[in-house]
Amino acid sequence: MSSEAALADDTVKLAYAVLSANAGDDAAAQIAALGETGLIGLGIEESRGGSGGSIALAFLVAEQAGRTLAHPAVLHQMGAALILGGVDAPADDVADVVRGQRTVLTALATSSAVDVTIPFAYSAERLFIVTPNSLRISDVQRDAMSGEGSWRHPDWAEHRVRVTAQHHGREWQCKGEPQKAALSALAGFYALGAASALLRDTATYTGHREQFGAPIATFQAVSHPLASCWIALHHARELNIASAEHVAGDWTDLYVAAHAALTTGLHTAETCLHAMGGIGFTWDADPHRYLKTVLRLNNWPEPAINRRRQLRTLLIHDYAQAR
Amino acid sequence: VGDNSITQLTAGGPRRSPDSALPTAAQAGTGDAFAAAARAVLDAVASEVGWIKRPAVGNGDNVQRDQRRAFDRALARRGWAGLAVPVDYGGAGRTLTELATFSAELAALGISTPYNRVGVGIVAPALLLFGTESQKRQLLPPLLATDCIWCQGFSEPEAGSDLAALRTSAAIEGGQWTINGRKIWTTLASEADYCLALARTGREQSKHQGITALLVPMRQSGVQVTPITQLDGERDFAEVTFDAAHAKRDAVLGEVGQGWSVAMAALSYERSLHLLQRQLRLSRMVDELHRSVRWSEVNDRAADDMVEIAIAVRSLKSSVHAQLTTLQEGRNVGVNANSSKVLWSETYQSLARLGVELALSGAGPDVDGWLAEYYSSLATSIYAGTNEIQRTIIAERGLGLPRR
Repeated sequence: MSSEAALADDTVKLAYAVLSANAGDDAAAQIAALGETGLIGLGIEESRGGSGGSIALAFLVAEQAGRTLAHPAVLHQMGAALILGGVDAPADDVADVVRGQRTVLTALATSSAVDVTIPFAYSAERLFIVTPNSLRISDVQRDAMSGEGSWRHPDWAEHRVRVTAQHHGREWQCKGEPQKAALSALAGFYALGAASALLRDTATYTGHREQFGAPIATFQAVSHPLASCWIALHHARELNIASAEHVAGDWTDLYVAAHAALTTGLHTAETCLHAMGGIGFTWDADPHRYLKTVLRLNNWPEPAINRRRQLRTLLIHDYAQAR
Repeated sequence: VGDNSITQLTAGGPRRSPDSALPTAAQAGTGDAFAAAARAVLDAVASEVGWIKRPAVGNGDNVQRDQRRAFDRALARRGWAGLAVPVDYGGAGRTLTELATFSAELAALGISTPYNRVGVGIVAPALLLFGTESQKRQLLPPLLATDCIWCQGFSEPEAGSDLAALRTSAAIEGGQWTINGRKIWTTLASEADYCLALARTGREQSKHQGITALLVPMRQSGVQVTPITQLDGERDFAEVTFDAAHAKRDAVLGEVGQGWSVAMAALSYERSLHLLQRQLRLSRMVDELHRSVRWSEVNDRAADDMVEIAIAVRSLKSSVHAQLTTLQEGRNVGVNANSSKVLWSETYQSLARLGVELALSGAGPDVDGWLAEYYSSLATSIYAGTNEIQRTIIAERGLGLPRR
């Protein structure tokens, strides 16, 4: 095994162990644990307050977050770290985020005054706003956050946050597209991890659940759709790994790969939910938690429909001009 | 082996051009130097045989066949056949990564599979894995030089996906194998010199046991080939009848009774290596569709389909390259190859269907070319193991689901 592969293997094991030990819905605890073990600042040079290593390692941590169904708010923190590491921010500021000492929400916006809905929001202290040409950081005004109720779990509320033009934060000029791609990639890897975990659970369940005198997994009507999910996940993961390892400043491949991960993750969750039958629709069972998480991730940091529009422009030559 | 002398066909093994200024593949440098040498040789061969770069669509294996064979023979003469096959057996001894580089250069000329595609894709790997030293030295050079064409006799009228149900039998009579039975959908049978045929040689204790892989000469009185016309009008495959056909006693690949393992290993290897060429061709077709469509006349739904197809092709590329790396390291790719066969075939079908729809809508693409691709694509979920078989394998080995 090469040294890079060994490092990746160690990172995956550590992330899985840390997140498993803090399983549940306590986002702050998970962020603190990831921060303490240096798993948030991967992909950022140590001299800049990060943990070193390649950005691909950060994505592997996100995948383990999905595999353990960690609170997706950890993606806010990991995303903020990557974004901050990509601008000329003071190392101390980066380190605060990397160590989990200052909790963060991230959002995309098209203008400087924003009014955004942030999924997986919790009581974070700062808000990172990525616009097409800048990164803005502001303190979260508690009275500006309004909960919109639970979509998955009472602790996983999403909030509408209003940040006015008179915010008191700081701003860096930077290209927004790479930041968006990095956030999308984090979401994509999380979705891959979550979908893979759900697929394994579904394989176990359908291998034991008997109907017509046999495990339902012995029927091709059940096993083949699951095999299709395996095929799709395998290829989406290969694409994402290759894109992460060769990112080298080109965010397009990362963004494209993230789309594959997110759509595959959602389709897998839907298929598994169906294969589990009534269990898939039961509140006390896990499948719906995976589904709802991946559904939200498919629309974070931007709506899926916006991503599709951008992909047309990116992947079809002269499409934008033709339209 | 057999009564049809391979040595006559080879006339002394692979022919090389001693006076060529261009290096053989074995002599070429590495990295960029290798790629440059490959391009130079391909240019020289294209010029020599009058090869004109083929369009990205409508250029299946049956187009320009004579010229196509001449191209591969010219490559072999210059020492550029069997890139990843050891030099001792007529190859160039290069890595699979270099084979990928060379395949990409070939794809740019519109060449996606070797003329002797069954031989190179299935028989050669099987020979390397299971052949005796003598078999490898005798059979591989003419195969790689495109002098000896091979077909593969696996499927039978009553044994398609259920390959283990095959009925063709072989027994030792008078010191040689006598073979009786029928094979069907046998690609390249009409021009093949040899067939890698599976035959039942033992008692049927288990469907997978008692099968032997035989190297059967095709040009003998006991072999009758009846071409089958395909839905696209081509006659690429045929029904083969063995009526007391003969093969020499030692014309066995692997051990007697080991045929099932030979077949599975050969098909597995075929999937990975052919996938590389197939993925390259698919990429070229995607580029062509991008280029030829007037997107101002197309709705967003078709554009979204195009995006998903383009992403699938990227995913396929990533997986295939990862599999090549795995093979290069001497490890098994497991069900990843089965998985990529499914993605490749279904993406090809989606792309061809979209191409036909866009062509018939008058948005720019060539109708005949895309119709040819569409018809061709329909076979891909059937051959090399149907996609249902692949999914069953993945369900069992990838997901650990119970067997029926």
